[in-house]
Amino acid sequence: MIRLDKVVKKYKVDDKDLLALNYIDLTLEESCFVAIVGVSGCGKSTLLNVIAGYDDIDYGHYYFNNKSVKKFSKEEKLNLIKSIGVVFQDFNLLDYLTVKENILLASRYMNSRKDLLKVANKLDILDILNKYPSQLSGGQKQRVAIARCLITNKKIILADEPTGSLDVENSMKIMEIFKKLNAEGISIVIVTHDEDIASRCKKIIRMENGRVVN
Amino acid sequence: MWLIKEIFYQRKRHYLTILASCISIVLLLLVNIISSYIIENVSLTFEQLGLNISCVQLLEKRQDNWIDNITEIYDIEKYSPYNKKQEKDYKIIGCDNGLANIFTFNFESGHFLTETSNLYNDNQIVIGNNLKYYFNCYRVNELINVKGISFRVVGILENGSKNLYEDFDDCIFIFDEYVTDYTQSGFYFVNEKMFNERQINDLIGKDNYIFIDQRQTKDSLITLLNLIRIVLLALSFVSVVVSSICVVNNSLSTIHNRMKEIGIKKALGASSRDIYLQFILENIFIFLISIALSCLTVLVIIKLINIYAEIKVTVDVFNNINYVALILVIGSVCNIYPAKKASEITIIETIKNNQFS
Repeated sequence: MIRLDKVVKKYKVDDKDLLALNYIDLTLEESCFVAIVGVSGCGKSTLLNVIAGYDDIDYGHYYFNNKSVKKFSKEEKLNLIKSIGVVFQDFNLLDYLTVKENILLASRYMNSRKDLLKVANKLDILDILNKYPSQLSGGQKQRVAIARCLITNKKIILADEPTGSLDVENSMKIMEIFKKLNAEGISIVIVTHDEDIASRCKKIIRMENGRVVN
Repeated sequence: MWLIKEIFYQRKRHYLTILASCISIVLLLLVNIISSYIIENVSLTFEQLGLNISCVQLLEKRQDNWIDNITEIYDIEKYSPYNKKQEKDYKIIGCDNGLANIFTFNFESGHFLTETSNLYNDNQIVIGNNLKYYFNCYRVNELINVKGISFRVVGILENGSKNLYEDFDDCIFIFDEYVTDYTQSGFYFVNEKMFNERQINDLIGKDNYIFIDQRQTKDSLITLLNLIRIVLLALSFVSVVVSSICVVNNSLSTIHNRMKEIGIKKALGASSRDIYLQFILENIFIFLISIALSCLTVLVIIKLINIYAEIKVTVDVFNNINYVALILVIGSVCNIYPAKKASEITIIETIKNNQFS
């Protein structure tokens, strides 16, 4: 489904090239449940941005469904973004929209849409659908963010430090949700520096200085 | 619904935009409405006054010798009933502005009506000393008959050494029925059907007067007012453009503040076109609100003007709708650039700007 072949991503820092991704080879199969672990600055967020289609690579190949992303047209690239759901550490909900509207926001740009009530029920946010993000706890916000991914039937969810802003109890709840979603066939890739969170995934990929070390 | 909610949420950022737009739109509409009213009323006033009226303005300063010039040209002897040279009809060369000006002749022993008793609507006549014997008329206010036309004698020029104008004892000054109106000193109104410019030229002398046609006066005044109107409208349009630039500036700063929103939407699958359309629609909506508020303000101002200035200014919707449409176009065009800028923001830019984490 997703394959990275000797991917390099550089950033310019003080006129010097910094290799954020240093010839990375990686394969993510369907229905995988992977944790990408590493210290801050090791390139795990950059890797997530590349996989999500947010950032371009400088060298190597990124294959999505066996097609090189480099050769993607604008529309295909947009479709890549649409087909991958991303959950962020700070939830990234729009404050002026209710929970319901935040969830349905994704469906504004996509044709397919699941039943809102079913998704809300699955994530236990049925009773907060008409509330605003400012009225929610961290755990609820993150569940809304996950619901926003699910409403448009995404097959891959990338989560960048999804439990970073949550307490232990809520973190565990979120991990349980990811586990359930994975059991339903959705691929989950979690970027974290929390070994405990990582240990709940089926596979752990460790990164150091822009390289995969295991 | 989404759009309205998004605009409402961003309302604090839009206040400045709406205010700037409103001021310029109100200015533009008021200039258009008031100037239209002025032009229309000036035109109407001329219509009511009568467009057939022409005006001969004497260039010479009306001192005592004014009468000399007139009588010389008039050749009163030739047509004087006293000399019985009445081969030709009497013609009017002009009339004075009431008796006030005749008084300036300083007749020491002449008989004149007072200014207040002067009857403008009658055929009036001032006769010379000799003519009073001819007509057997020794008092003012008596009627005399000249070639079948009845005239009221409003003044008699006395003969004698005391009379400064004894040379003109036989002169006749007629306040004729053809005289259509009176104005302040110096203007002589004659019916243009009776006189053409050539005739007046013969009577008064080429360099002694300006012939002013009422229609020409109206046209030149309307042209002048139209010119002023165009200048004012142009200035108002400049203010619309300036406010649009302010709106662009405000929109650009708004975009920076809305990077997170743009990033989230793009991450959820919004294309650049979606973002572009959203910003364009938002700005059109804001401009529509501004236009609605401006129209309301203009209507209130016009109502107040009508009440306090006691005039009746009416608002012609069709006359103003073009301007409103033009403002909308200017507003939309000005917002293309900010909308384009917003649509070009990438998700990774928002991440790098720490809008995302």
